[in-house]
Amino acid sequence: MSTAGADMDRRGSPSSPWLPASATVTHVVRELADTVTFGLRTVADPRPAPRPGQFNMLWVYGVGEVPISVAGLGDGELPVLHTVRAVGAVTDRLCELEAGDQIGLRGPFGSSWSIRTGTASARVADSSHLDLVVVAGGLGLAPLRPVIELAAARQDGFRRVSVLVGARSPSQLLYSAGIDRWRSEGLDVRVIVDTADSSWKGPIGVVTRLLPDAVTEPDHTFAMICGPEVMMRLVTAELVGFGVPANRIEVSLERNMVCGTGICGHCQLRELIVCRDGPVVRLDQVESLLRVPEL
Amino acid sequence: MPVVPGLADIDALDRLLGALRERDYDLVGPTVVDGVIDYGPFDSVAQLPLGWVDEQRPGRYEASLQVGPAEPAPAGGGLPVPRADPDGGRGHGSMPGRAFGFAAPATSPKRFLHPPAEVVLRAIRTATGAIEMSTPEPAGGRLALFGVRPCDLHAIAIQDRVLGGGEHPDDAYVARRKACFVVVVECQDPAQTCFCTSTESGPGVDGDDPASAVADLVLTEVAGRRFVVRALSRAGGELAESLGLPPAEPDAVMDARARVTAAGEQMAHSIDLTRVRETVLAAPSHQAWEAFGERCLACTNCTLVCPTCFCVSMTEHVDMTDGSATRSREWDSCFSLSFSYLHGGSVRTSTRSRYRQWATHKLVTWLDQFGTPGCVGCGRCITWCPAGIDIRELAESLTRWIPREVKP
Repeated sequence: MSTAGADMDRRGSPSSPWLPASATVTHVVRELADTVTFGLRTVADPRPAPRPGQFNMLWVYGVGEVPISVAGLGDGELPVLHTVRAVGAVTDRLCELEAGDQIGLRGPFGSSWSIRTGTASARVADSSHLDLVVVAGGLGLAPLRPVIELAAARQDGFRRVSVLVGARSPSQLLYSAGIDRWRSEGLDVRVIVDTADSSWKGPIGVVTRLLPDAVTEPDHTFAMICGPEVMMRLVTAELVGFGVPANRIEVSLERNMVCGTGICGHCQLRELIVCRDGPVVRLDQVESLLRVPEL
Repeated sequence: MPVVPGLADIDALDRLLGALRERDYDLVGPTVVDGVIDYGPFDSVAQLPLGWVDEQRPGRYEASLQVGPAEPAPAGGGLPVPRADPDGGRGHGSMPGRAFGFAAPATSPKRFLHPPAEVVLRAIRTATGAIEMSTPEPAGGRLALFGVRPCDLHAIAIQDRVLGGGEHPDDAYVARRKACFVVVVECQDPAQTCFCTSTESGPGVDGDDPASAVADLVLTEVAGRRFVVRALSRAGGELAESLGLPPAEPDAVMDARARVTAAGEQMAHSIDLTRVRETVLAAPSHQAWEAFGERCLACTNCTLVCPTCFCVSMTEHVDMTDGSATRSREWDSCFSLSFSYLHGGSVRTSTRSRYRQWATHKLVTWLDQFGTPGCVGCGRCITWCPAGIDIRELAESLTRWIPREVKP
């Protein structure tokens, strides 16, 4: 009948947003005791190439589905990468995957970091006069990894790039081989740990301690931050204190997500639907929201 | 579609229902179930709660068959009406003998379009370990929703936007909506809990309102249990024409409008959504959240009866006989602790914060997210709240109390 609202009439018959593509695990890299990185390639149903900062919904047969950020963009030859820590029923199973296993994949979903990629231009029209400061805490390094790879390949378009990484301890440092490679490719990567061991020769403390050296010209700085919310609050407050404009600071938010497509309601942060309007948002969109407990 | 409204009596209504059935529609409309008026499957006019009235107040609902003095039928009307009872009455202006003398049914038609549980994925693992997945055909055939109240009509328009208007529309919802025929009956007997004039979603249906695009036919009851019938869609026009209704006299049309206008004037409560918005956005720690959230039991009743609440979670099933897996989408509520769960704990641990989330979403942020208000003023969250929390009082407190943020 003709009664479907005008909002729906302009579309044809949509395919189900709940139908995943079958994806095969190409390889697994054990990163930490409880964290792995695996590659995925969809079997017959090609998905759009993800942009840095986006996420996929990964479904483990009969167990459940979780949003996992894209840690490697993949392209024709290379699989899309995801880094997962075992913290629950679904992620436990994801960490047990072996090459050749199949899971379900929906996505990519969400917004992306403002960095130039091969296929899309950044929200920042011209970044050649800006220094990029990437700040990651713990597993927050995963969604920033595509940004760092672009920077290491000199494809980012920024004037200078600094990567600041905070980890709980040296043994909890993600992508340590990658960090060595990024440094050897000329990237300025600094690592700080909360708790050191006898092997550690770097700085100790919270990641904000690394900021003063990286932010030399606040009004020519662009920052991308991902980590626990409390860490992002501290880092952003410090950056704003230095004089970095809030609209040149991006954070990646984490909320409960069931759909990834804006129709399940779980990931609301007041006016934001994080899976749709985020996960990457500008600080000026969320600065006040991050200060309200339980919002 | 016919420009001239028709006039239908109860017999004509029955023929209307028959015509819908002939066109392969399953009928859903107000019926009396377990002592309440609620939307449900039905076949004929005899099953409609004609002459029933309801009383709704915060935390209170009662429905009864009104046996009051009949509203005089015009000459030649000749329709049976309930016997006179001088003590009959519901206390808020119900016209005795009215066929549709009740307000919003206990729940909305939401569950017929956005079912409480629905399988959205079937999967089987083959011998090689490959996973084969498919989505089932959406359940439910062609549905005719009859006797939809204007608030519920607006709620359907809102859910169309949420579930069908985004970048990734829900295909099952869209399929059900496209196969749906909607007959609205305008309201003349608002309950104490009704406030659709504040949300501009009733008590009538304005043909200029975008939400009216959801309706095929709009009925307005006039004296003698007769109805002015307006067609708002081509399908509605064709159906009305097939019934051969006599044209409604201009007097009847004016009478119908006057009755609906009067119903709007009966609604004593009004809330100022613009001012609520300003306060909610400026003062997230407003003490009203404490005062009202304190009373909330987090029972989820309000989200279940709300005609616009759409939130869902997914439940996984594995069949032990063949190892096949299904996922079903099931209604969830932002009042549950698990709703905002993240590794390490839930974002909204206190009931108060969940109440703030729900009311903020309804009254304010829905507009930012979907470009429509999230509340249609049906009052069900007030009626069915076991603590009798009144969202209108919340709105009033938000706008009247000086937020602690600006106190010296």
